[in-house]
Amino acid sequence: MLAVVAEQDGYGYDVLRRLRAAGLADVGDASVYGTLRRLYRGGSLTSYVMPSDEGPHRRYYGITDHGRALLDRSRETWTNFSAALDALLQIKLEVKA
Amino acid sequence: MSATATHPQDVAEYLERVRLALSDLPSEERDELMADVESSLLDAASDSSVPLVEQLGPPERFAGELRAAAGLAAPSGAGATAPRLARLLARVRPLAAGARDFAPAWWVLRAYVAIAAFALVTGSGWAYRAQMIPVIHSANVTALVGLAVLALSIWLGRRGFRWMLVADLALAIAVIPVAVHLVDQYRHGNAYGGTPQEIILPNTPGLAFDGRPIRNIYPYDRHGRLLQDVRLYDEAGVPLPVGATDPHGDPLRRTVRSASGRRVLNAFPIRYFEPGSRRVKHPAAAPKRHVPALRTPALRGG
Repeated sequence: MLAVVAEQDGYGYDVLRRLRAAGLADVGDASVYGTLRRLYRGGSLTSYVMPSDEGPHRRYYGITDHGRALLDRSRETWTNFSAALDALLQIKLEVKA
Repeated sequence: MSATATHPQDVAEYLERVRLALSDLPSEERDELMADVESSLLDAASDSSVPLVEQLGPPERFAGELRAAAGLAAPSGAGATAPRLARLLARVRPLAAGARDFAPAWWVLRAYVAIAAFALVTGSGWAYRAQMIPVIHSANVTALVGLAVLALSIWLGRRGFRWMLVADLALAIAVIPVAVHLVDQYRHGNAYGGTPQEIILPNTPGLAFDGRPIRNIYPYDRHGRLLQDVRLYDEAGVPLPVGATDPHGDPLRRTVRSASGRRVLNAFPIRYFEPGSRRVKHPAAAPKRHVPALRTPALRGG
């Protein structure tokens, strides 16, 4: 979710749509909204409200430096994790020249 | 919005049930969550015609996932509202939200009700010419107080204090005696304010003063000068005629006519011709010897 917001600020439904578009179809709506809130409270996201003519004002979320740091750490963790898993399953990652 | 958008009533109900399921949370946290959820759910609803309950699951489960993802504690059993009650409340609350559009009108009305109720309770008078307008102490004081109360009502309304609900309820109940009073005034047409007093008088036709018929009126201006051809009306705008019951009028009476040619019977003093002529002998005749000038300064704009 941090990656989605890091790419571009978004509001709840927007973030959800981008996650779905990226292939994470099973992610629950409520989980997305709740997590956005949790990340915001944890300081990884900032938020601002954009007035809207056609409905309720939308709360947009943007990433903070703290959030970026968290994202980088998460990327590292994920890369290590998937490498370890691939090794276990004996799939070669590097193409030997 | 697509033509197949989910009915907004469904969305409102769904949102209300989610809100109820989160009712044990502190209001600030809950309101922020709801704000996010509301706009997102409206988008979700407008993108497809599938009812929200099918898209997202039961609102109570949605609320549970929301809390879990947000890192908030699960609700305690005691705080949960019975599902049927939850559904009922969910249907009613959106209607109340729609009524919020009329809030400014209520702010103005409740200011009036507050002052009118005060006037009723303290027995202050009501305006001479407009029985709906209460008068406290004097017209100037009432205007000042009225503006102050109105400003306060609007300011409180815009701030949206919760405890104003109690005051609103009290004022809503106070509307009843105020309305009763207004209907009362309308029906009895009381000119002097306060409770109308019904004095039983002998049925005197035409213009009368305490049961004594009046045959003529002599109006004097502030300087003590007798006025001619002054037309008189009561507080309801009804002319005060003398001689209305005479079929063709007294032949000796100087007939006063309006521009349209109609006989005017409420113009005073009524003058009479000398018998056998069409001439008023003493146009300035009057019973009073001397009417002194008034000390009170003239009203402005009179």
